[in-house]
Amino acid sequence: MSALLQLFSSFFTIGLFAFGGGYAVLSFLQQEVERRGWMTTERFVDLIAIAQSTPGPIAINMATFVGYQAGGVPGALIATLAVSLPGMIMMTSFALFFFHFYERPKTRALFKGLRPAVVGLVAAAAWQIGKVSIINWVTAAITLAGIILIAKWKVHPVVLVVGSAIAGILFF
Amino acid sequence: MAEQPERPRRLELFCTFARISATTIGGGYVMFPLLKLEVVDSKGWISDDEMVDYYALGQSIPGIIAMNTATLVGYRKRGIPGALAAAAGMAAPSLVVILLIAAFLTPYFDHSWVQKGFSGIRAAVVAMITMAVWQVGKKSVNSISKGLIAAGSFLAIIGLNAHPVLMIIAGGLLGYLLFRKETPA
Repeated sequence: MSALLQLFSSFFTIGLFAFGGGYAVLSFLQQEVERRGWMTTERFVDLIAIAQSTPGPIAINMATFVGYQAGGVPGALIATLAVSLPGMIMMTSFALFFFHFYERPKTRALFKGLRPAVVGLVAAAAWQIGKVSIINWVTAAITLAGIILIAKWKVHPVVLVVGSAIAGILFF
Repeated sequence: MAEQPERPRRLELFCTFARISATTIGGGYVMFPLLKLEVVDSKGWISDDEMVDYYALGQSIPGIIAMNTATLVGYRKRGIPGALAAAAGMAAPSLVVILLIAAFLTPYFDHSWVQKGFSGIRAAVVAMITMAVWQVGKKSVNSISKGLIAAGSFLAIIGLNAHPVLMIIAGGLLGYLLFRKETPA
């Protein structure tokens, strides 16, 4: 039981200080994993790859995996819950009053400037992911084909994911 | 919340966010196009602008971006039960898939054809994010000053490794200073 409590408090703390998602969680988690001896460093590196290449938010995937290693299925559930709770509590408390201000002209002005900043930062993410993902003519062709398929026929992401996985297996 | 006529059931919120999560491979930024597709284009629960706003708030509050954004959309549609349903939906596919992998599949993960498949997926993900940001940008970046904010945010992150939350705060401040005198659009 105390092991599960330890898991909860560790992951709650990680969730509380994670600012900016999965990659922020990574450094906290690595320190905590080493301190508590939950898994070996090699296993942790594998975990990063698995968390990034399986469905779902990276931080949730990492929490589930480490939680399972440390405490089986109950550990996985507790770590996932604990890492999500701080954000959910803060977000809900924020939402309680936020929507009263959302339609006001000054708030709208603020969001008019904030939206282009978000467009810029998501574009930057596409650029950065592109730099490590588009590594040869095959991957460049997949990206280009994806853009054309979405722009012309609004092809569903699941079709793109399955199609690009098959293309990767066939052409690499 | 009186101006929100359609109230999706909690189960629908759960299933929609589970679908978004199950098709998001690679975290918060990959979620962006899927969030747009499901919540804006397919369900019409919120507008493009609202989605960008919620996404920004999800990033600006500590915690997991995807969980925070799901919480906010769920809250907007169905109050606190909706927030819980959406967040649970977001976490469910991770729990199932990662538990299966952790319990049974870890040895197979290094197989070369699995790695090749993921190389293909990552390239497609670039296309998905690019197109979503293009479509959203066409609407929210509709003046020169907004174009400069978008370009500034892009370049600061690419060139100076600036923190995304810093860009959101700076964009909000600039918006307040530049647009507060405008008539509401």
